[in-house]
Amino acid sequence: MIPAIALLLTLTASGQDSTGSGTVPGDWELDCSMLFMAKAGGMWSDSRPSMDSTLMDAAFSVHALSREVDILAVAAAKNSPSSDLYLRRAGAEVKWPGTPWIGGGVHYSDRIPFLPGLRSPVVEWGWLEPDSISGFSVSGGGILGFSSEYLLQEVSDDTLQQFTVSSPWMGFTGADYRRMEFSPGDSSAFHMAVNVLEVRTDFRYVRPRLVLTGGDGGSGRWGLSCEILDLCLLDTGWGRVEVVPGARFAGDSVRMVTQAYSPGQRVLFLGSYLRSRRHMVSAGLEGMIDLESDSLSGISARAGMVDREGVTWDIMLDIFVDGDHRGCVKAGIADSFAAAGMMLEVLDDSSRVTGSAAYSPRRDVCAEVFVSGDLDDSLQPSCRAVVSSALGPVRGLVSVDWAYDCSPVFGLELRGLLK
Amino acid sequence: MTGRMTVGVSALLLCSCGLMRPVERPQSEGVDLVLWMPGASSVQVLGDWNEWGGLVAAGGVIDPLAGMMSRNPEGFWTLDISHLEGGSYRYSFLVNGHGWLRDPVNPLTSEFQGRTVSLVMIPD
Repeated sequence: MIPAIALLLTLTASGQDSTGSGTVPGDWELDCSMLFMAKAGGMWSDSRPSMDSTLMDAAFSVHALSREVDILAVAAAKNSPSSDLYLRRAGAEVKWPGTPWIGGGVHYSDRIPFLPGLRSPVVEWGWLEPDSISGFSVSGGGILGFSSEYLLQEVSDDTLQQFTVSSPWMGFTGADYRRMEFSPGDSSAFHMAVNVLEVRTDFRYVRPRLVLTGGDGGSGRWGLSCEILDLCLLDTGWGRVEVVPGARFAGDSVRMVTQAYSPGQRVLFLGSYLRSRRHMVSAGLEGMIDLESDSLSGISARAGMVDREGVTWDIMLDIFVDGDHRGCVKAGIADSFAAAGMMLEVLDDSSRVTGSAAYSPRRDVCAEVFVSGDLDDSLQPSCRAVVSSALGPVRGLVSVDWAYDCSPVFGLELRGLLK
Repeated sequence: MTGRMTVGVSALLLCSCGLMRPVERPQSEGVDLVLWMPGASSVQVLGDWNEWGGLVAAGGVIDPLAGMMSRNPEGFWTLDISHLEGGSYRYSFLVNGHGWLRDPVNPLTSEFQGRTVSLVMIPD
């Protein structure tokens, strides 16, 4: 690991200028950078600290760009499980000379795939480690303004494919089609194929949006969500009040890796929002009606404001008809040197209060303390102290966490982007 | 529950009575995300459009400069996102490199990796 990082530092230090970018002959722009992270964590036990985890990660990027070609390569080294330098990410894109909207590209090991939806993604692989996925994608576009991408990724023995076609914005409407297919290495395991069509329209005074989802392998694997934006009840120079009607329906056998749909869902939705163009204030009230039971299934309220005394208010409340509820009220006052705040969180039968204080001796350094405890007999106090700094492109963090009946845990983190 | 939320209701009542008056937001031409945090050493915006700062990209390391907001002399941090293509995007502020913060003056919310985050809808 150490030789690899030394090599990366040497390569970075030998960049063409202090900004790490420059122009080479042929109208090429070259950009070199190194992103690094070092973390350490440990506990305080038996009157002395003991280090129990360390992580070092360094990634060296070379980005070459011309009018027609865009090439990126990222090599990286980690201290675990091996310290070898390996290709983490790469990509090349070509544009047709003189027509920047026609082109294509190839990418290696990009990102965790997901299918966006209206408010929640239709599919999201939130539990995967980005480094555990390898694969490549091919993208192209330009024909009548359409663009497309094919993504093939390997996750352990499983295969994940994603295909996307996007239409151009045609004045009043645009559409995206996406298909994702997950094929497990073990044929008896969960197999998933999802088709998603998203249509956005703009009729000047209203903006209807629709997401239609269908799954392979049987009936009942579908979902539909739609809403109409920009319906304005009141519009003044101070701000506007909008209402957003919508609906969410799903088949009885819908299986998505998401919160966007639940099986058999039949819900009508109505939201009303206050937005101010000139002031730091907003509010929203949302209600959902379950058409199966013909009753209100939940209410959500949000409100936030920064007042002229420098106090930030943030209120969030969700109440569901089955008795579940959660709420959060935050208030904090701040100036350039110091800040203090209180937060009350309620989740069903439990509630917790947190107090915080911060001090900034200079613009790029901040020290914070958080103390919290349950508002019941158990109290369960906990405390967190953090000192953070932002010196140019480098971030440093020192933290100590203590929870009731546990040993203190400390952490160190250093992250930076050198060019 | 009802009693514990009294603080919030009282705050709303105070606001509606005009005892608390909202501060003016920095004006701009485009679509701006704005956060009042005068003492912060850094504020970033992590969202669907920038791979959550690198968190969901290969490597999974947050780039300390991704989505970096600019601080004005009054203590407002701003970022122009009007260049984004039309659609829905989830985002959250990352304050001082470690604190995830939902946008307090955006009533639209969503979820990301178990966190309540904010949602912005960019017109085409």
